[in-house]
Order: sequence, then structure tokens, then C-alpha cells
Amino acid sequence: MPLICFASPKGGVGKTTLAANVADALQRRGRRVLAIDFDAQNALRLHFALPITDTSGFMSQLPQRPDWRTLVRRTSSGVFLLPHGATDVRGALNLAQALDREPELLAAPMREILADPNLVVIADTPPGASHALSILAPMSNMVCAVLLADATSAALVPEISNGSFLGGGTIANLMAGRLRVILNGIEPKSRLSRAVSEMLTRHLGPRLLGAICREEMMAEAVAAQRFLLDVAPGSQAALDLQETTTAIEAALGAAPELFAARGAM
Amino acid sequence: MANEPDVARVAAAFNAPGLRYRSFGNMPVRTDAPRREASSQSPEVVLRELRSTSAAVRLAEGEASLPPRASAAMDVEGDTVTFPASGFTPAPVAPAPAPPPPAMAPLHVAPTFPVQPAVAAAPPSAPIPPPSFFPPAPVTAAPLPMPAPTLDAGLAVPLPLVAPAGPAVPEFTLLNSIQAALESPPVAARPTPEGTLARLRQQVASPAGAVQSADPAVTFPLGEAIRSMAGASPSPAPPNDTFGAAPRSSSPF
Repeated sequence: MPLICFASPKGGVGKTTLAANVADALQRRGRRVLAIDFDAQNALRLHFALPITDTSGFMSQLPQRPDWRTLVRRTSSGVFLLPHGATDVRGALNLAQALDREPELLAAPMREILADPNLVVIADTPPGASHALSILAPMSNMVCAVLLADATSAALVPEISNGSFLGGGTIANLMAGRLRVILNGIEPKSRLSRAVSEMLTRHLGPRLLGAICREEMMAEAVAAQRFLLDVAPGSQAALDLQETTTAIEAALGAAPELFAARGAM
Repeated sequence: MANEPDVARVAAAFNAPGLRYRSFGNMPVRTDAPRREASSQSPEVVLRELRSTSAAVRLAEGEASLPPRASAAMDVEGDTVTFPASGFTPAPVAPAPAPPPPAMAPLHVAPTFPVQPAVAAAPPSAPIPPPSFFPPAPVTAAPLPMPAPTLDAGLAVPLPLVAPAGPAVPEFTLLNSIQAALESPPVAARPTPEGTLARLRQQVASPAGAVQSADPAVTFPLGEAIRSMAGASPSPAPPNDTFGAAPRSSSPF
């Protein structure tokens, strides 16, 4: 049932990497997790070791109203995955027009997916405002805005605070309460990174859900198409990831049914 | 337009049917030419057409009046090469030495990623994988017994498996695509007892405690940091000012 959206007004901040690793961490804790890729980059599948030649997916076929059940993949990590699917410019424009014309095209299958009370759904959304995010945000239990510890991310704090990138008016005001921030790529030895981190910590207060230290092993884990908790479970970033996952679980409130065995369904 | 034969040869050499001409009011000599096949645009064919066209032009010169110019003559013509109604004789051109080049390379080319030779040397007894662009990775883990997965018992739709439950390592990794092998994995930084977020909150809550830490906390606002980077403060000028000075001094603006 819980839907956690990973979003950001800025691109290249590590949304997809964090979404994949948080999904993996939740799955290791016995949760049944479905990760859905709403980003046309179609990169989430690579984190889950899908072949690069596998280009089918859910969102790219959404105008044709596909049955999402037939497109769900069971990855080797145990996390279920709905890839976005490869698309081109025309496909992306058609998808945007279709969602603009008929939001129910996405809302209806999402309601079906979220009807499972024991399923944690992780949504990786494209950077900035998007049709997908505007449809998903009212359904979500939490929107995790990912920011980097740099100046340009800090400049976007007003948009984070008022939730304007989630929508406008009442929706933005409603969603601002569900918005949490994860600060990614903190470089403790960088003067500016420390300054931005401290400023955001002071400004966001309890809305700062997690802080992930910059770790070379994170990038190498992505390159190896593995998860950080597999490659470097004792690293600082792995510890930060575990704490962030714990904070997400705590914020979700009542824990859904746990599954004892990893990968068992 | 004295170089039409040259232009036609270039067009033929590049096999580019998209080259078009405007007639600029001249009588279209050849307006109903069928769309040529790509293979018919060899230099020999073009030269043959040029010779026949020049003969037609000479015939047209003998006529007393010209037909009224159609307004459509100003439109962009298709593949038809229109020559002015002036007597011209194509210059002798040496025959083309080579057959026409093949058509342009296809735009969609299957990506070819180099593979490591170690992967290609698979044991012959291994099961033949399905036709795949990438070689399979060796099986490193035994398959885990997994029941048929379903997202919802009510729906009871079996979910497809990404990989046939054996290999825990993907058959293709991004590292393979960049031919990078981690000879010695880098040593991950030793984590501190508390996480990064807890350390940040501790620094913000008590600056005095931060001073005692190994990494001194930055206590000035972000705006000052950005102004310092932009050179607004009397701090030492960044090195790129050296490069920025010259254009400013010599710019007419």
C-alpha cells in the first residue's frame, strides 16, 4: 500500500540510485517491494541488472493501456520492477499528451497496484514537474525530494519548501506536509558541501529525512549493476542508506506485513 | 548556374536525391522525370542523362516561342534536375572509375560493445544461451527455491522472472561496456559511529562540539560562501580572473 515517490526539482541528484538502493534495503528487511520507473531515461532497470537490451516497459506502452501485471519483472534481488521502457521523442510526446488528456490512464493502474496492502511501492519520477509526479503525489504516502549538497540544489530549497514542483495551489499545500528531503552526495572534506549541508539541516529541520555521504563505492556499485549493501555494506554511505531506510519505515507508520525470508513471496 | 554538370556529379557521387534546384523562371527542360532509384544515380547514368538533356535543350532552342511559365515552376522540384534553356554542352568528363557507393549507412546500427575475451571462452558443455547480444556471465550462485511470485493473491498472475533463477550476477554489466575491471576494489571509507545526518544535526545543534571534531564545521551562511566564490569578497581572486581580464579589456562593449 505505501507509495514512496523519489522526486526532485533538479536532475542528476541520484534519485534513481537512491530509489533502487532504498528498495533493495527495504526488501532486505523483509518487505515486498515494487519499484516503478516513471523516468523516460529508463535507467532504473539497470540498477536491477536487467539486460540493457531489454527495453520493454510500462510507461512507454501506457497510451496503449497495457496490463501492468504482464510487465512486472522479478529481479534477482527479489524486488519487483516495472521498467519504464524505451521511448523516443514521439513516444514521450504522445505519453505526455495522453496523460494530460486522461490522467486516469495512469491513476487507474496505480490504484490497482496500491490495493495490495503488503506491497511497498517505490516510484522513481523524472526530474522537475511532470505529469507522472502530479498524478502520483496525491496517492503517495511520502515524497522524498533528493538534493545534492551543492549551491544549485540549495537554491531550489524554496521550491522544496512550498512544494511547487509537485503541483500548484491546494495540491502543493497538501503535499508539502508529505515532503521529505534526502541530501545526497555529501562530501565531508568539501567546504562548500559542508556549508550547504549545514544550511539545509538548519533550514529543513525534521523534514530532512536522510543524508548520504558521497562514496566512491556507490558509483562502482552502479557500474557493476549491484547494490551498495552488496558491494560495501560496511561503508559510510551504506550506514547512511540504512539510516535513511529506517527513517522512511518510521515515517510510514504502521509497518505492513513482514516477510521473513529474503526473496520469498 | 554554369556548373550544373559539376553539381550533378557531386549529387550523384553523394547519392543525394535531396539536392534540389529552383528553375528561377527558366523553362523546365525535364519536369516529369520519374523518381529515380538509388542505384540509377551512378555517375554513368547521370552523364547519360546530361547528354540527352543537352540534346533536348538544343531542340528547344529551335522553337520560336516558349510556353508560358507556370507558377509552379518556382516551387521546389523533386529529384528533377532542371537546366536553364540556354545552349550548353556538357564538358567532357572522364568516366566514373568506380561503381556508385552503397547507400548511406543505416541510421539504426546495432550497438557493438566490446566484450572481454574471458567471457567468450565459455566451456563447450555450458548450455547454449538464447540468442543474446551479450555473453552470459558465469553462474556463481545456486538458485534459490522461490515459489511462484504473485503481487496479489486475488489477481494470481504469475510474474515473469528476469533471469532464470540461477545467476546472481547479471550477464552484462555496465563495467563490461566500458571495459573496466576492478583489479583491486577500493577500500570503502570507514564509517563513523553515527551517520552523516546525525553528525550534521550535531554540528548544527552545538557548534562548539563541531570545533572539536576532525572536520571543522562551516558556520557562515551559504550566501557568504557563494559570494566568496564569485569574487565579491576581498578574498584572493580566483585564477580564472586572469583569463577573464583580457577579454574585458579588449572588448568594444
